Amino acid sequence: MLEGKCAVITGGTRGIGKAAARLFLLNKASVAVIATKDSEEARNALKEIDPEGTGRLFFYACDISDFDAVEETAKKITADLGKIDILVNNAGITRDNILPGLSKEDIDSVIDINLKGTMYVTKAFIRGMVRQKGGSIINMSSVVGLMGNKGQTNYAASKAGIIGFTKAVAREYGRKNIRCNAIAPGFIETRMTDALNEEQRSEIIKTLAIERLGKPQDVAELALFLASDRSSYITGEVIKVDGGMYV
Amino acid sequence: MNETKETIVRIIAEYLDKDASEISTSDNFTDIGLDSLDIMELVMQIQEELDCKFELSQDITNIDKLAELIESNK
Repeated sequence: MLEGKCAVITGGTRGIGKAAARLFLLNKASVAVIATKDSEEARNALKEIDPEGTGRLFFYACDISDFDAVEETAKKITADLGKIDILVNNAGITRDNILPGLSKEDIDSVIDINLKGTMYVTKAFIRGMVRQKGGSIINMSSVVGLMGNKGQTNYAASKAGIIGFTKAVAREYGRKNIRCNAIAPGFIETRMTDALNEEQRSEIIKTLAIERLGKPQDVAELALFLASDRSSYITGEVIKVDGGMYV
Repeated sequence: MNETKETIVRIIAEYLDKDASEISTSDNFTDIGLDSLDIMELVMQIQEELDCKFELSQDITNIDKLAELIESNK
C-alpha cells in the first residue's frame, strides 16, 4: 500500500509507533524512526521492526521538544530519504496526577513533548510536502483528548490541543494535497498502560463495548490506511480506535 | 531583467509548475495563481535563496514591486 513512499514516525521504537513502523515497512515504505535516545532498547526495537534487514529502516535520535534539534534532524532525514510523504506524530508521554499534585515539570514536559513536539516536527516537514505537492500527516491524539479523564489533565489538554492543531493543518494545507488526520486511541496495551494493576484493567475493560484492551497493531492498521492513498479524501478527521470506550 | 527578479520568477515558476516565460512580473500575485498562503511560503523560499530579510506589505502586489523592495533593502 505504501510502495515508493517515505515515512517518518516519532516515538517509533515503542508501542503504537513501533507497530506502525513494522506495518509500513511490510507495506514497502521506507521508514525513518525517531526516538529520544540511541539506546540498546531502541537498537533492539529496530531489529524487531526490520528482522529481514530490508535496508529501508532508518533511525534518528532526537528530543522532539527541542525546536532546533528537530529542524536539524528533519534536514538530515530529508537528505537521507530524499523526500517525506508520510509523517506520524506518535511520540508522547504521560505524567499522571490529580491537578493539585502536578508539578510545573509534569505540566510542561507533557505539553512540550506531546503538543509542542507535534507542532515542531510538523513544521519541520511541511514545507517539503508543499514542495512535492502532497503528503499525509497522522497525529496521535487520544480518546482522553475527546472525553477527558481524571488524573490526566495535562495529558488530556495536550491531546485535545493536537486535535485543534490537526484540523488547522488540514484546512491550511488541504489545497496543497496534504492531508492531516488524528487518531484517538483508547486503552492500548503499551508501556503507558503497563502501569495499570489488574483491578484497574478489569474496571476499564467493563467500560468497553469490545471487552479487551486494544493492541498497537489495531492502531497501526488505521495509521496505514490514513497514510495510504486509499484515504485520499479524508482530512481534518479524528478517528477513535478505542473498542467502543467513548461512544 | 535583473538577477533578483530572475530568481523570484524562477522560484515562483517552479512552485507553480510553470515555465518562467509564463510568469508575468507585472501581473498581480493572485492573477498568476498565488494566494496569501502561497505568498508566505514563497517569501520564505526567496529570503533563503537571496539571503535577505524583508517585510511584505499590502502594496507589494507583483514580482516587479517585490524585486524593487528586495533591491532597496540590500
